[in-house]
Amino acid sequence: MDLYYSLSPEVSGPEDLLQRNLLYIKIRWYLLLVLGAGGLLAAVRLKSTAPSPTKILFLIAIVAAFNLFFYLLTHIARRKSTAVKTYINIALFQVILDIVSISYCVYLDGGEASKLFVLYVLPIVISSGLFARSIIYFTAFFSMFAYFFVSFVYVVNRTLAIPDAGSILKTAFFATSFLFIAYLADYLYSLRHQREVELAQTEMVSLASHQLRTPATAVKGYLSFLLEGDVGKLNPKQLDFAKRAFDENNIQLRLIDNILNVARIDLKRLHFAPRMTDLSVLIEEVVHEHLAIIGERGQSISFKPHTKNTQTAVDPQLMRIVVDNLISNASKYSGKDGKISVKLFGDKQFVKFSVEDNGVGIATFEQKKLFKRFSRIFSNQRTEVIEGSGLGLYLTKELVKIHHGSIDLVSYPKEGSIFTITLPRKEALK
Amino acid sequence: MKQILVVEDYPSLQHIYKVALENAGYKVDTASDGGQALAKAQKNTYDIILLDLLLQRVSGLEFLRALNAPLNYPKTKIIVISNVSHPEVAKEAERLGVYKYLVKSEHLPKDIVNEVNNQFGGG
Repeated sequence: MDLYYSLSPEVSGPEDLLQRNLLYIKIRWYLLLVLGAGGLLAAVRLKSTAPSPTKILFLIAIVAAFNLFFYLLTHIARRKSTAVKTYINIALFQVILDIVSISYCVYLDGGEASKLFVLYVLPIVISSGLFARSIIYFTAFFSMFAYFFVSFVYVVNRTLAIPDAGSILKTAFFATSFLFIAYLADYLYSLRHQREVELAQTEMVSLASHQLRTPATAVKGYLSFLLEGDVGKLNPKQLDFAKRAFDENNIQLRLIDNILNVARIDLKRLHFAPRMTDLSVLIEEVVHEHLAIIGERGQSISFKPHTKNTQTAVDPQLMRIVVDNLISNASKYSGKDGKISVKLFGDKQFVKFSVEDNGVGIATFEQKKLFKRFSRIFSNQRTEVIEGSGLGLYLTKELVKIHHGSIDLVSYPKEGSIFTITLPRKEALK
Repeated sequence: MKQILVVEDYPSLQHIYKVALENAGYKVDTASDGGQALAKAQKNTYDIILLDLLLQRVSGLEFLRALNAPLNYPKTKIIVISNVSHPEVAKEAERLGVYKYLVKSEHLPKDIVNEVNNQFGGG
């Protein structure tokens, strides 16, 4: 029963269902006006072939009466705040009466020869906008049955004979197409709903990350008091532990920022403000920020610009994340005594920078999935857990893409990796 | 003694900024939302207001609009310290008379004290 009473994911609640119902009632008025006028005109002009005006007027009166009845019923239900099941029943009953009315139209218009069978699409589409999958298919099956029935009855009434195989097949073909329309409508609505759910989840992740950043920033503040000796001098061991906690907190903040930026990209809310920037200075600053932790790991890092013209159009804040992620990765996946080399090249059109390490390297089959979300390198020689969200390279690739640039990787297991970023000098400003 | 108003709704951060600035020799007053901050700013004369933007009830930007510091309190300097790093917000804050815009997670308490010190050439 729950399946029966489930609404389409498109419908946000009882009030929305009511509004949609009222909209469909309005559409029914317009259709009645157009089809009724058309039918009456045909009845007057083509007296011999068209159904009698009396029959058409009877149909118009019936449909107008049931539409008025449902209009009033919907308003009464709204005023009395009836249970959602009642609203669904009202809507479903209308859809059934629509199919019955359309069937009568088809009958009056010539049974299987009538083109009015296309009207069956309407209740199916209305149904897919209101109900869950089970009722959409019920509507399609009911339409199929009704169309088949009226076509059959029409032939029997007119010719007093069973329809021939050709007309049965033709009717069956059109009737089956209702199922296909139901499938298509259901599929399109599900697709839209899925996208909405994904966006809502991303929104939640974004909000949660924002909330996480504030306490993490407070921890950073308190730890800095301890490290600065503002609340008394620490012994060497306490100082070492406080320093480790401070480094971990920095990693935590970077992870939160990565998650937030990926959420911003998904929600199309990432602010991109490119301007001519000296990439050499930017890289130098990021390298400098990494010096301490790279030194602690027993690794070394060097940076060399091989071009004089180091100006290029980038968003400095975003490009800083790219350089930071690449250097951070190179260090994470290199062992003790690891050597990281950052180089900057350029020609008239492009600026390239590369981050090279002599770390664990990446096997060819793993390189393809490396830039996907939550990817990790498993074929490495390191046994300890490497911190990271698995979002760093995905975010890097997306940020480079925003700059109209590209990212290339050359890597061999146990030898190391070279990540090269190519950026058009002025493309980002266009 | 120079007087500073710290407007921050997260208690730990408010505490951190208060301690850091008091250690540097400043007299510190605190407020947890824009409304409270506005009442204090209109009652006392502060040399510097350290302002978070995402606040309960009255936001930091609403506080700036209501205070209209460039016109009403030209001697008060306002430093925004927020995790909202959107350039449009920074631009709007600047238009409303903010002297400096700092990203919270990127600045340690000592960096904030340095920024304040720079205003006075020492505490």
